[in-house]
Amino acid sequence: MLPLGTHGRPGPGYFPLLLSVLLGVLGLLLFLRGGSSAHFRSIRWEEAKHAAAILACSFLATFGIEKLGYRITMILILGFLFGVVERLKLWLVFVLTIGLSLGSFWVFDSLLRVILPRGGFGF
Amino acid sequence: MGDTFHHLLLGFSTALTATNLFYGFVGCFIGTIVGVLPGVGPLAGISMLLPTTFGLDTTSAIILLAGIYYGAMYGGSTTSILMKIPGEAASVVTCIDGYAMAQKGRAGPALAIAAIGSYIAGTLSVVGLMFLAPPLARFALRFGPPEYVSLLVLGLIVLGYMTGGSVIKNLSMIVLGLLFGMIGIDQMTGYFRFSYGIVALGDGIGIVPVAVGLFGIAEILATAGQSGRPEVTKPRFRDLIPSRQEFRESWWPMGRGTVLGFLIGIIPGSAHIISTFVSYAVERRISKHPEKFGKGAVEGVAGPESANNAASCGALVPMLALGVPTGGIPAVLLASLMVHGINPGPLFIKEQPTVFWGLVASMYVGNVILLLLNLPLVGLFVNFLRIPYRILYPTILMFCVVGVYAVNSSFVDVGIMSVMGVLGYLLRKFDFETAPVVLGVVLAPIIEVSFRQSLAMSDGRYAIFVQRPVSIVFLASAVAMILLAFKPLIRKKRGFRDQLTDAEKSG
Amino acid sequence: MKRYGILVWVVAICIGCFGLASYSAAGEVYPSRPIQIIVPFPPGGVADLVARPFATALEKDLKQPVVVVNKTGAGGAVGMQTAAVAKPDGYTLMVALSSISVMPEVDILFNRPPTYKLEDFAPIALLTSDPTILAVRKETPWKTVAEFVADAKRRPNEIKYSSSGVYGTMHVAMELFTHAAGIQLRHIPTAGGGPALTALLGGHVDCSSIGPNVAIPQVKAGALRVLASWGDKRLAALPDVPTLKELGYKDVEFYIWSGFFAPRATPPAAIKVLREATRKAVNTPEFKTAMEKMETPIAYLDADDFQKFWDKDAKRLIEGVRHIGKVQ
Repeated sequence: MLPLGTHGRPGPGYFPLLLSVLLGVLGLLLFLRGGSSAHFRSIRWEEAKHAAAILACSFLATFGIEKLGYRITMILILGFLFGVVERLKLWLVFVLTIGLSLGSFWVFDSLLRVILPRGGFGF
Repeated sequence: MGDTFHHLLLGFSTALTATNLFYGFVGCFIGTIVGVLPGVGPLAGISMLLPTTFGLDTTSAIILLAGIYYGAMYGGSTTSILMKIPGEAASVVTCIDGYAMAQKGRAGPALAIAAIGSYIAGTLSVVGLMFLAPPLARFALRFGPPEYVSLLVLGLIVLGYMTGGSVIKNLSMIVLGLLFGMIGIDQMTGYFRFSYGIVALGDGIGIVPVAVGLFGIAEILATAGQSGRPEVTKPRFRDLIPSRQEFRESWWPMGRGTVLGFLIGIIPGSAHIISTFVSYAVERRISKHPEKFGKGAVEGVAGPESANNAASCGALVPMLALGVPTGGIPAVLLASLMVHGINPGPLFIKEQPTVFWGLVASMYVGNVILLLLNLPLVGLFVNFLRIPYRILYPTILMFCVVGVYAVNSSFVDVGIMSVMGVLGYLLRKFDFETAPVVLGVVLAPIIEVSFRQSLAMSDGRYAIFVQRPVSIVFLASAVAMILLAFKPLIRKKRGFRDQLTDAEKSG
Repeated sequence: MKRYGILVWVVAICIGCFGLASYSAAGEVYPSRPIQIIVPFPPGGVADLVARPFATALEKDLKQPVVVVNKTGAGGAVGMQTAAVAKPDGYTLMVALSSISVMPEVDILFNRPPTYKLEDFAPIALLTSDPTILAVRKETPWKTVAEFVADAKRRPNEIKYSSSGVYGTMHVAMELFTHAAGIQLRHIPTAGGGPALTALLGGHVDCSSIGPNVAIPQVKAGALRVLASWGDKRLAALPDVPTLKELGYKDVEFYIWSGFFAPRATPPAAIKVLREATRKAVNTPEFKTAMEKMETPIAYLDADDFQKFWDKDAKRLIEGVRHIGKVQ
């Protein structure tokens, strides 16, 4: 537990505790006033599956970008999104995936000299 | 006065040489690109080009780097307006009304107003820099920790007016953002807070992944799967230019944004994003039709965009006048000067007139270049929106990942962005505003550290906040604003907030 | 369907070839690929400004691109940890400052598993070294260290100083002095070197232990006064300023130095190449001019001398951190 310190010398735990309490109070108020707002059921979740797919790609990017390398990760992600999720025509999937992955790599790595990781396969 | 004019002529003669014009153009161009790319902000752009400037002449080097700096402020609004993705952290506010305008088919005018506002702010603030640099810088130095606390208290109260509807919801969002900002090393004692052993979190979660995640990723998550997205038709030329009405509504916000942005930018340690939030809040408070905000009010674009650019110029004031960096970017600019053997200090303006006035003149020129660059590109950018969304959004995702990764070469940032994306998605579903979270993340370290520093300075006595003149002024204003908020309740029984909520419900 | 299958094979083979190509290259002479130098500090800082001209100078000798990568965070710990656990093949190196010695000790203080250990690094060379200086505001009455110390003893915990952060360079340096002088000052940590300087110039604190490059322009302009330096010898730029060592404070020395490191397990052959290249690089006119312009004196020490220097310096810093203990 982070020390709280005193009022005259707040420690590292002081503000987080204060804010958490505040958040709790506000949350409680929201909960109590919940009756007057729109019904939970009225929220539409129709795009949730789609969003989950995109989210999975985003997390794949997080872990893959350094283990697999930028280009491979991007090819996987874009290929998945264009090909499986969006079901574009095959040639279009191919062109876009390879083009964007390698193209963006070239722009950033060679032109702008931002090192993008090459991953375990060296690619 | 005549002296300044004479110096300015000297400056122009330096800035308008072919080499410096070239470097100025390159800087502005790269700045625009850097601004457009999500995540990658001017700091990243400047650091990338810093080594290449080592070999250049001092004036050319600083012109190039400064061009990237304020150029990025122009570019940042582009993706904010078109795709609700902040091009760089400070453009978050433009995402709100700018994107709403784009949805109504007014993307062109939004981009145009952003460019024009940026130009006016940029030029006017250079004038301010020119005449007022030394006295303003000395004033800025008097901002110590207690002044920050009082100023931010005042700022938070002003921001309470930022959005209508549920005060509690907005407050919760700010508090949530503040809590996120607590992650990282506690500067005052060295404890790691909430980092769970991941060293990369030791520095906090960073404004860039949060902004890009909460706005950009969340936007993709929310809209990608939706059927029935409106088709964007090919815009006619008329649709690209702001209407006379929009122009009329923008002038005053541009002016107010410029002044606000410039003043906030001067204060060391403040972030540009604060100036955009304050401008937005002020415009909303002053407006006769506050219900328009959030649905495409052009004032919500004109004000913040001007504030943005003015703040970037204001941030240069202490750096040039006193050799004191106000933040990360001025620090890098200072470093580039040091590499060339110039040590900026209080005597910089006197001892290096060529460099200083050359820079000032180049900023005038640069703003013109940027205006000329950005306006014609409006048509090009708007056509961007016509790409089918099914192709566009994976591309956006890719750019977000690259942009966020490039900032610190850290995959942890990409992870934070993803998590923030989920959070943003859920918050939208439950009808919460996400902008205050970003503000909270930015403000948290400043408020907390300043508060504890103030107490360290006074050895635990709270009286320090009312012992210093500047601090008293801010606190008094804050109290005044709170009292003013109660006035309508006493007078008319229906506050501003209720009128707002009513108008929103019916409109 | 058939065309689809063949296409996939072609792509897979291409990717495979790429991968193999990069692997086979690793067996050749070092260096055969671009080299990465990690700088654990933000761009524009001391480490960065030394590393970049250094990288350019190294490129000439190694004939491979040498790229500087900023990996900031946690006062440098993020970048240092990355370099400590990087593949020790000689292609990931680091330029770090003297604060490298402090972090593991701070971790121990807080009962945390250390983010890295000093033994994880093999020193290649010391590049630059700058002692910090004691700067006070011009409005303060102290003209010498003796006056300062006397005043501090009269009113303990009243005089304020700013630092770049708790356990940072400015903090530890000041603590070494206050411990030796037996005085108590009030510590105001800030977010970094820049804010610390701002606080000093704005009058919110009375003194600070800063690096000379940022302080000297202010001194020339009259905003600050320098009472002493933490060095072994007097500074060339400030010949009238005594060192704390001269004034009798033994072992109160603090340098902001920058050093070139490799992961400990890097093959000795690669390290030999790097040492040689570094020796040549620091003697190139371009590097010398770059450092001169920044008024950062080159203090080159080869690996073995550097290791001795580092050990001694680290011991001093670790003692300092232990004295500071946990800040409440």
